[in-house]
This record gives sequence, structure tokens and C-alpha cells, in this order.
Amino acid sequence: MNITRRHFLIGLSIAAIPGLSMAQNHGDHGSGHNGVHNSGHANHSNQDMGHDAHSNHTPGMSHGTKVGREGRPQDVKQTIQINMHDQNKFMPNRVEVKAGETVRFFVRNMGQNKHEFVIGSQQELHKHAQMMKQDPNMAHKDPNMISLKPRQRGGVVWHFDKPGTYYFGCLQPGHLDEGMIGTIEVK
Amino acid sequence: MMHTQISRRHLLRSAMAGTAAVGLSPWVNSAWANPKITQLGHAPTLSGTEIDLVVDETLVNMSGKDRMAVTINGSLPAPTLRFREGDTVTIRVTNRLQQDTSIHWHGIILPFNMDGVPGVSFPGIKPGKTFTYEFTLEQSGTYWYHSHSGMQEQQGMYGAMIVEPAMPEPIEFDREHVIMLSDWTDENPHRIVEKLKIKGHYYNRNEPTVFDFFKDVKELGFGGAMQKREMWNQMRMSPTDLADISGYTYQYLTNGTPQKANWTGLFKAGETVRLRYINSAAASFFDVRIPGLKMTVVQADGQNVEPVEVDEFRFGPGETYDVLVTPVKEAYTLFAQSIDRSGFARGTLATQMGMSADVPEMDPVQWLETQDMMGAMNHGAHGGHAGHDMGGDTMDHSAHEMAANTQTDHSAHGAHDAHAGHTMAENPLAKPSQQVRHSKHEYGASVDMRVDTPRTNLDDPGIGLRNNGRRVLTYADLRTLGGPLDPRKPEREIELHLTGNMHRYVWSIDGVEYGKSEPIPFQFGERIRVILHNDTMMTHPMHLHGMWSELESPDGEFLVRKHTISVQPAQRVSFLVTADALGRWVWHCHIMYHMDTGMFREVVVS
Repeated sequence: MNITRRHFLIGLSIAAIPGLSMAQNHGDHGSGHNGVHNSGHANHSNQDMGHDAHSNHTPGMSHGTKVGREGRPQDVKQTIQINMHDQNKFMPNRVEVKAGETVRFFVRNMGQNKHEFVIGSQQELHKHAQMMKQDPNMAHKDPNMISLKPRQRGGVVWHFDKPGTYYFGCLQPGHLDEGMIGTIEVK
Repeated sequence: MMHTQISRRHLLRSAMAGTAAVGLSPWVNSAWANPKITQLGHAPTLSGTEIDLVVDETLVNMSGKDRMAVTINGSLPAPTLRFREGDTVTIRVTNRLQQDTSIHWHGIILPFNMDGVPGVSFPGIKPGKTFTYEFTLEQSGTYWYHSHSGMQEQQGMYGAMIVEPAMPEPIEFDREHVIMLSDWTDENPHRIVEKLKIKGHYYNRNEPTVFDFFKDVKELGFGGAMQKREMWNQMRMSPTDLADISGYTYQYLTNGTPQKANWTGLFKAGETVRLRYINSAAASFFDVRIPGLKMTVVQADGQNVEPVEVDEFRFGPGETYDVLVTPVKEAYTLFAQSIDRSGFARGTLATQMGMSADVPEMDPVQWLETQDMMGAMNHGAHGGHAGHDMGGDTMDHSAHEMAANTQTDHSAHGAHDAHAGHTMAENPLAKPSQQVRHSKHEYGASVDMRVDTPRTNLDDPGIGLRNNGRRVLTYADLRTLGGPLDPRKPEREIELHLTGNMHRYVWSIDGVEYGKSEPIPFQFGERIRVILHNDTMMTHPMHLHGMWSELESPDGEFLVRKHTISVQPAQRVSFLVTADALGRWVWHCHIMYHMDTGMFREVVVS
């Protein structure tokens, strides 16, 4: 193994300045605020065709919503935990949110079946649930929803701009009909 | 079923020595009149949902010298705890030491106040007191537990914890053995730290000699050999710094027993045997193999993986691998050499007691290679680093630190305007960032080197195992069954550098030792990418408490879920974490001496 000095200089630098003061604050990275390279926003939705470039499903439909819009993780003011159960229910099934705030729904699948958490109006949810019945294997992915396999957890970051009553439901075939729906009161 | 060959006579000899505290090491509690003898090599199994554990000092004799070990229920390793997934367990831990103690359940997901880290999760367990741990097991697999106080882990306070799955699992086997590998020293561990502080290479007996020099002259010519020496001298390092503490002081133990005891696990011909390998060493990486047997790795850190057949694997303190073997001969050697080839742990797998197989020679010591010091030598993407001055780099990297923040507000897309045929821009967080960002604190006395061109490949078995003619496991081989626990892409990315100064024997994260650091904040519910960038020449097994670390490939593909991730020298790896556990947690290197001298951080999820 013959490392030439020049080679060696390229890759490595040796610090030899003793006594630099070690300030009490955080490093320039890893601190969550000062200087973290933080590209918020990881889930790009695709628009009207619901055709997600990252998954290989047949171009199906979007199950997006006109209720509010996708929020940015750095704007989250409130985190709401929602657990999904095999009795086809959400716990809790009623939540309150302030208009103009960005909320993170942190969702866990506590059961042995697949479940989904989808935000929308009652009408939108029922329409999308019908579509899912016709094509149960339709892959769908939009920023207003998360599909979770058993034991998985995930989340949706959403911004509600207008007061009103909105809903979250599970679009797995039959689940909505059995009452797997919850309300979001935006005040 | 599990027996060791420690003769009764040997035990009696140890027992007699216990009548006088004279001659015992200075850290022995002199109040002992008749210290109890430690039971070595066959940890009792405790199961059910109510467990009582007693921490005490008991006598061991590993090498002809009587020493006191810190043990649980008088056994080394501590009792094997067998639980069922879904059970809520109550574990009462009574401290009979004269110092505080604690137990950390390594890799177990539980409420933070049950995690057992003194000063973070709870105050610790005072002498004479009992602390009751209670938690529900929401996972299954092979785990372990150990003290998180002082140097007790080095002194014998560790045991296996096996959680039976609630649902049938894909792994089929006829018989199982826990194979717990560890290191033992007759020295007082606190003295070891003192020695390392005085001279970082204290225990390195592989340093180059005049003979190596003549060999190099033959190979490289006089100029080349001089240059090679010159380089290492300039770095004030040694090319054989693979482990801080070596076989010079250590004995390597298999289930708490030294080589000569030849711990033996039994099997019947034709059986498939599951070996639950746990590295419970304080500071040693082991290269594990069973000459003559292929091992099928089926579990990593308690999580089932797609089976992969190997001849050998390396693991660091804190990591576990479950392997299946199908032995046909009468006896095989369980061989585990330390990474620096200063010694090995040995046991036997046999059809009856008293048998043994050939014990292989240790592999030769290897010098660190270019990739261990500089990482990737591909400078294509890293122009502008030539001309780094070895004599003290005062270059201001601040320009790199806030690399273009590509944050764009995509919120407009959420509103569903029709954008027929619209293709989205590449998600900036789809792949882990390759942009090296050294913290400004890395330019201080605590850091003796920085790597600007890290390697990101995960298919390197590491120094000493490269091209050895055997099939060696790497992280690139591991795929956790069922995929990630969270399907989300990361919402943000943080970068932490593993740093140190070998010479002063200080270790740190981002150049800041624990005592001077602030906690790392996680937001409850977020999905976060953590990049670990190793600016040192040693491999660090990094253990995050309370939450899983989901290792990804350099392209951002999920590979394997672990609780302890070993980062090789000059390597940059990344993993995703879901901050699903509120409270105060810790994150540290599981080499106890690195943790103790500063490579430790608190993480707060709020």
C-alpha cells in the first residue's frame, strides 16, 4: 500500500490548533435550527391524475381533497395522534384544530390489517371509497393520506385555512361503511 | 443443556482466596468477608412476567487472579430473560453494590422513564434500593440488557433477553443457544481510561517495528518506506489503531467463560441450530465464524431479515445477529477473533460434552488502508479539497455549511390545480446528501482529523476482512422483512460527525464532548434522516435509544432496521428515524470508553 503524500493531502486534514474555544452552543448541523440543512417537504404529490412517479400502479385517480392544503413540516403547530384499529375505528375519532394552523396527524396502525388515514369532505371520502371498492388493489398516494401496513406508523402534515367540519376516513374496502371515519372541527 | 468445563477444583481455589480481601484489585469492596463465587457460563433462564434481579459483587477467576465482577443474581452472563411479545413485564432490580447501578434494556421500545440511563431516564438505583421496571413488549427477537452506570458493563453486568413472537415466525429451528461474546479485564476499568488518556496507543502491541520497516524498504524502496512512516507520524497515529484496548489486557469470553474453559453448546446430528450471537463487549469488535459451517443470518438486532448465507460476520458492541447452522460433524469451533487480532473468544458446538475441534490461527494484522483514512478516492464530485494543509487547517468552511438549501414551497401543488402531464421535480430529500458539512467545532483541539471525501458504500466488510477468501456479511446484504416501519420519506435531514482525538483520548460528536453539548431536538411524529459521518479511523457502533434506526442505501433505499449501526472509518451512512417516543433519550457510541470520554448525546423528542 503506497500512499503518496500528495494523495494523502487530498482526502484528509489534520486539525492542529489547540485551544480553540468550545462554545456552549450547538454545532452547525444537527441542531434542528441553526444551520440544519433542512429541506422540508418530502412527499410530492402528483396532481389530477394521481399518477405517482415513484410507484408503479396503473394511472388511477387522485384521492386528493379540496379541504385545506398540504402543510410544511417546519410550520407544524400541533401534533395529533390517531390510532387505527381492526374493529374499523379511529381513536380518537374527533379532533379540533385552529383555522390557519398547520397540523401533523401522527397515525399508527395498531391492527393486523391494512388501514388508511385520508383527509377530505364527507362527499370526497365516500366517492373515493367507492372507487377503491371497484379496484381494491389500486395504489393511491396523495399528500392528504397515508396507507399503513400492520404495525406501521406515519403521518400527514396538513394546513386548514377555513373553519368548518371536515373528515378523515379509511378507504380500504368496507371500512368507511363500518364507521371508520372521524371528524375534524376547524375553528 | 449448557455446560462448561470449569472444574470444581478451579472453583474451590477461587473460593479459598475469598477469605481475605488482600491481593484483590483496588476496586473490590473490602467489606466482603466471604464473597460469593460467580456462576460462569450457564446463565439461568428466567421467564414469566415478574422477575427479580439482584446486582452484587461476586468473585471470578478468569486467569489465575481473583477479581470481583459485578453480576446479576450471581451469574455471568446475567440470567437470560425470556418474555412473550405483548406481555407487560415487571422487573424488580435490587442494588447490593456500594455504588449506584442501573439496567438498560438494549433495543427495547419502552417509555423513556424505563430506559435505565441514570441522569436522563431516571436518577439511577442507589445502594440498597430496589427499582421496579415495568413495560409492555411490543416487539420480538434477540436482545440484551446491561448496566448503564460507571464501568459495570465491563465488569460483567450483561445478559440476554429473548422475546418470543406472538405470531408464528418464519424462522424454523430445532434447538437454540445464546452465544454472548464479551471482553474481560483484570485491571480496574477506570485505570484503563487513565492510561488511554496518557497514551492512546497504550494497549496497541501491533505497532510497526524495524522489521516492518525493512520489509517496506524491500517493497517500496527506501524513499517509499520513509514516506509511509512519515505520514503516520504526521498524523500522530498508528496504522494499527483498530481497537483502543486489546488482548494485552483483555480476555475474550464466550458466555462468560475464557478460552480454556471451552464453553460447549450441544446439538444432535441433523438438527438446525439457531445461534443468538450477542456482542456484549465493552470495547471489542468480533469477527465471528464457525470453520466448516455456513451460517444463515436470519435476524439482525432482533429484526427478521431475508436469509443470507455467509462464512463470517463482524459485529460491534451492542449488535446482535441470529444465525442458523446445520452441523453434521461431531464438533465445531465457535471462533470470534477481535478486530485487532490480539486475541479471540472460543467455544465449541458438539454432540456431547468434552469434545473440541481445531481452533484456527488468527488472521494477520492489517494496516489501515486508504479507504479507512480518506474514504472514497473519487474526487469527481469533491473538487476544491486539494491543497488541504496538514499542518493546521484554518480554511473557513462556513461556505459549505449552509449548502444551497433547496427548500421550495410546494404548497401550491396541494391545491390540486389541474396540471395535466405535470412531472414533479426530484424530491431534494430522496437521497441522503453527499455534501460534507463539518461543524465549526470540528476545528478545535478535540478533533485530530476530518474526512472530506467519505465513502458511502455499505458492501465493504471492513479492515482485516477484505478479500480474505470467505463470504463475509456486510450491511448491503441485509433486508428487513416487511420493509420500513414508516413508509414516509424524510421530512428533514441532520448530519452528525463522529469525531475524536486519539492522542488525548477524547471522543465527541461534531467536535463537542457530551459535557459541553446540548440535546438534539426531534419533533414528535416527524420522520427524520440522520447522516452519520465518521471523521475518525475507528469503527463506532452508534446506538440510539428508544427509537429504531432504519438504515438506507446511498440511493435512499430502505435496507435494514437496527438499534446499533457500526460506522466504519471515513464512512458516511444514513438512516431514517420516526420520532415516535416522547421524552429524553440518549445516543452514543457503544464502545464504553468512547461513550465515557464524550461520544454521547441526549436526544429530546417533544
